[in-house]
Formats: sequence, structure tokens, C-alpha cells
Amino acid sequence: MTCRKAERWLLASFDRDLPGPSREALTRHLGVCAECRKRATEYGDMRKQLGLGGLPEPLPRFWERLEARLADSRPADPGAVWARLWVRAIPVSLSLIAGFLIATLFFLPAGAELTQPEALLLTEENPIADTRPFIEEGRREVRDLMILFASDERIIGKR
Amino acid sequence: MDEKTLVEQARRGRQDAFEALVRMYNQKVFALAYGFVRDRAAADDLTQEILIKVYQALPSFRVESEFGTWLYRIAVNHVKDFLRKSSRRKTVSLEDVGDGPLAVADGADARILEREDEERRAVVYRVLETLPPKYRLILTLRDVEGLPYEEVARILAVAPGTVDSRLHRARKMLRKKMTPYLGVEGGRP
Repeated sequence: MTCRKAERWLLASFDRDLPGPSREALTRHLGVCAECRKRATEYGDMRKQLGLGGLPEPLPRFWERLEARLADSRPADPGAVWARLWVRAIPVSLSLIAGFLIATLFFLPAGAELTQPEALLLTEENPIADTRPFIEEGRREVRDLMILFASDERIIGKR
Repeated sequence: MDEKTLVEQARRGRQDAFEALVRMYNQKVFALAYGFVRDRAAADDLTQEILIKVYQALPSFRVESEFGTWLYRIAVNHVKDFLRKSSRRKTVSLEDVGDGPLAVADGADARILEREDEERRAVVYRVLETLPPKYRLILTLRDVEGLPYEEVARILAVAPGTVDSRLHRARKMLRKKMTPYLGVEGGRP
């Protein structure tokens, strides 16, 4: 085993158990290689120093200070947001409706005069009632002409 | 009361439940922040910002996931953002670390040993600061905070193989930078 491989296995052994043969090979190598033994001691000492440092403590009254900051940054509660919006929505809606009504009363153009057909329809009168006599008269003329021609055909037929 | 119940209650707006969660995690989050800024006031401020973010994001938290992992992810992302934006970001050079190799005392009295141990620890932490952020972060999570290997992978949202290689490089790099304080390096390639 090379020292490089021994170092790799040594470092891996800090995080997980090495398989039996690898562990035995590493132990054998450390038994014969003074440099790797020294290196193993140094790594072990380094890790021990890092771990032994202990976790430093935050400054005093940590929670009290955090609590004050949390009050300013409370997460938005969707229910509260909707409730607040709803309360604001009522007067806004009422004023919008009132505004619309006022606009309707004051700004819409005055009602235009009705056209003749509109007026007739409104009074449920037939719009072609006035023209009916003319149509009737026209139909009479057409019937007379038709009789005339028919009698003419009978004369032609006899001939 | 177990963590899941506390999370559920905190999601429903119970301030006391959130307070209990804060007390469970504030030191860990603080340690993570402190590992990067090395200033207690700044780390405290960062921790508060992270926990405010957590509080605001609580309604979107899925109960079936692990709260600790979720919180750490928020913390890690916030610290990364901070490092990106902050002009206060301090680059520690090896000149700041101290002089000479650290001798391991043999047979000295307990007080001297303790002091030397403290000094050695301080050096390790200062050297840790000189590593690139991604290596500093992974070493902080794994070796300083002692989080399980798998959880580190979940927090960083990377494959376990990536955690493996990143940890390997980070430890090697840390040791290499520590060499002047440890002794002479050697060995077979």
C-alpha cells in the first residue's frame, strides 16, 4: 500500500467504517510507516481540536432580542390579509356605486326623441297600417288587369 | 415535547413553540456563522437574520422533512449570501496565525498543557479561516459541529461522493497549511 492510499483510507475512516480488508491493510501500513503514523496522529489531533472547540454561545438575551425583531417581521397571515381587504372593500365598493349613480344622473345624454317606428312599436301599433289602403288599392288594380287578360286568353282560345 | 410537535405548533403560529426550537438550534446556527465571520456580534446578527428567515418560511416547510436539515440549509445559504455580499469579509493570511511550530508538551503541569491545547486550537481555527469557503463550510459542519456525514450531504444538497471528496481535500488542505505548526512533512508518495 502506498502512503497516498493510506491517507485516503485514513481520512475516509473518520466518516465511515472501512471494510475489513481495507482496515486491516491500513493498520498494517501504519504499523510499518512512521510518516503515515505521524500523519494519522496529526489528522486525529486536528479533528480533535476542531471538535473540542465547543460551540460558541450567542450573545446574552438572544431570544428576547430575536422576539423583538420577529414582531416586525411576522409572516403574513392570509386570513388576516383577506379580513383587512374585506373591511376596506366595503366603503370602496359603496363609494364606487355612488359615483356610478351620480355619473349616470348627471353625465348621460338626455333621452333622444323616438323615431316613428319606435313610437309605433311603443304604442303597439302596426307600422304598416298607414300603407295598407295603398297596397289594397294596388291589389285591386292588379286583379282587374288579371281578369282582363284572362278573358283575353279565352277569346284567343276560341279563335 | 418532541421536535415534530414543536414544528407543527410553530407553523400554526405558536410563539412559545418557535422559542423552544430557537433554543434548540441557536447555538448550532451561531457556531456556523461564527466559523465564518469570527466576530461574535456579527455572528449573533447573522444568526438572528437566519432565524427570522426560518420563522417566515415556516408555513412553507413540509412536515415530513427533517427540520434540522431544512434549517441548516437556510443557514448555509444565508451565510453564503453574506460572504458574497459582505464587504466586511476578512481574508486571514497565514501571518495572522502565529509563530513557530506548536510543541506538544510532555510531562508539563496541567495548566501549561491546557494553555497549549487552547493555543493549538486557536491556530487550527485561524488556519481553517484561510481555507476557501466551501472547504471551511464542510469542515465546520462535519468536524466542528459533528453532523453526520449523510446529513452534511443533505444540507449541502450534494451527493455523498461529493461530500467524501470535498472533505478529503479540505482536511488535506488544512493539514498542509498547518504543517509549519506541526513539524516536517514526509512519507512515501
